[in-house]
Amino acid sequence: MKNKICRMESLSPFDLQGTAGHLSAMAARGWRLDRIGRIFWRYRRAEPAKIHYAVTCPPAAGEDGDLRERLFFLELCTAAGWEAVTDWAELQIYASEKESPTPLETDNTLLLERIHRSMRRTYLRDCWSSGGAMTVLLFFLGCTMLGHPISFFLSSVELLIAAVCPLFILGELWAVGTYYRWYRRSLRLVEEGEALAIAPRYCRILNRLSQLVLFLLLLTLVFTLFSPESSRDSSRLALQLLVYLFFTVLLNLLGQWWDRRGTPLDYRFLSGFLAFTAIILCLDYFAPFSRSGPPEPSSYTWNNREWDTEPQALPLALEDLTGEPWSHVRRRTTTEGRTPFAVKISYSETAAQGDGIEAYLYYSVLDARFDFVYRAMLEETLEDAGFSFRTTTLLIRRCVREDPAPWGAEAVYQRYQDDEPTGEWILCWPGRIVTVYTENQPINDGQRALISARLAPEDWKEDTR
Amino acid sequence: MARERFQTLTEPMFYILLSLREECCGTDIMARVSALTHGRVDLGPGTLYNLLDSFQQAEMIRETSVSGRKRSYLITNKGRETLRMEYRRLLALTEDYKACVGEEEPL
Repeated sequence: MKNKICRMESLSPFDLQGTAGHLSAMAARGWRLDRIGRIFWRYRRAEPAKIHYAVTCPPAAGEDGDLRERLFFLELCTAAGWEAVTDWAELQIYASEKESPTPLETDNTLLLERIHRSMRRTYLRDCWSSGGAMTVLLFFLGCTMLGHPISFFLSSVELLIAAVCPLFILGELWAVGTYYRWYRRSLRLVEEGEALAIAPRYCRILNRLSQLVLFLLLLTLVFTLFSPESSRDSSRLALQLLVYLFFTVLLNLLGQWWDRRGTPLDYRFLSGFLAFTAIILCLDYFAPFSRSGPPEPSSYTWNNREWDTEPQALPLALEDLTGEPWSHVRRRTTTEGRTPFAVKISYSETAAQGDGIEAYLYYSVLDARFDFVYRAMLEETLEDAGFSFRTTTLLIRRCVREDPAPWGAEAVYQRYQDDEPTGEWILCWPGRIVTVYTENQPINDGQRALISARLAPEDWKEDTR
Repeated sequence: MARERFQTLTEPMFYILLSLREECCGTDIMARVSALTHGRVDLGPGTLYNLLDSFQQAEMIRETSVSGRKRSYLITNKGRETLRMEYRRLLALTEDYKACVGEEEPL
């Protein structure tokens, strides 16, 4: 039989009466509060009993406060029959087994003043700072969406964060609004000589909902990390976020331990700095281990290079384009990204003949499911023609439109480098952008028609038949 | 306009200052207030702690001794003056009541 349980509670820190009532109900069921951690509340098994709980906010009497003040406050509480249970941020929880103990606080005006000061220092500050951080994150994601729509719409993690951020911002605003509604109601009640207001029931529902969203976010990150469908960038981002979360939890636990031991601020700063360095090093160390596509197929070595024993089938292969079989082939398929907005799969093939002649083919198929995504991605693909440096030479890259008829596409662009045509073409169909690159391979009209026949979308082929 | 602090005293403030006319520690104050008011005024430890802190900051009481967890206090001249003013205010209220309603009028 378990003697200790940990629960994730959904109580708001300003809900003093709700918290006291909840703890009394738990004690009546045989579970007494042991301590409150950053995430979980720990209870220990005890005989079911009627215990009164009270939550208060004594100034300078928290664990970080003056020990002398704390001892004096404890002395007063003990004299009144209250026993300190644990701290909850700046608040303190007390319990009394007396039938009807003197309330811990008998002046609600004073209590409300202190609670409000404490909430402004802790709860409200946290709400504003996390809401602000989410707004900044959303801004950066917005910039990524406008500047680099391809990577944005192909990254399931970025899309997920972009979807969750507004929810969190709304949640934080809602939490601040709820607090001020509670504060105004409490002020009115205290002026009328009543006790502080009880926090509305929906506060707990909202808190539970935000915990659920966080849990789902965590599950999604883990799923993204291990799913073979995830792109390499998404997996890497998921891994980085998980490592970051792991260290955040670790630092929180360390913070609790420091609090208990009363570690000086210098050591905390030094340890925090070391932990931060460890995060950076871990992110750097684990990045290459993030999953990067399916396992490598079996291969053999010829001419000091690896070749596939059983090459996988591709939509378009070098033997289709050249019309002749190749002795040695190495083919790769990579899912660059798969989201509800777009899918990008890239294919590459290196082939060699026995006499040493080699050929290389690369193409990527990018399917956009919405028109605005397609237009943004096409614009970025064509804009991806600025400057590139190769050793010390500045190369000017641009795309030149050419006749799409031989390709059987809606539009076709060829990439030029320093006014020299390259072997790279961008073929456009409604909802699909295909980039084909053939190294030093001239392409005739027959090959163009073949590429179109293999890589055009099915509905386009049916329409043109 | 916000009222100046301690211009008028609440019941807990009044009884704490009254108790501190003689030196006593925090727990004794709670017992004295309860005895003085025959249990009518309950003084919670949280409220007592904060009021002692505020009175000390306002120099209406002073800490006289600290022994372990116990701290003793004594009212200062400023505290006595505040208590006296409150007494006069309460007397004035009582006189006004008598003038309006009469001494024999049942409540």
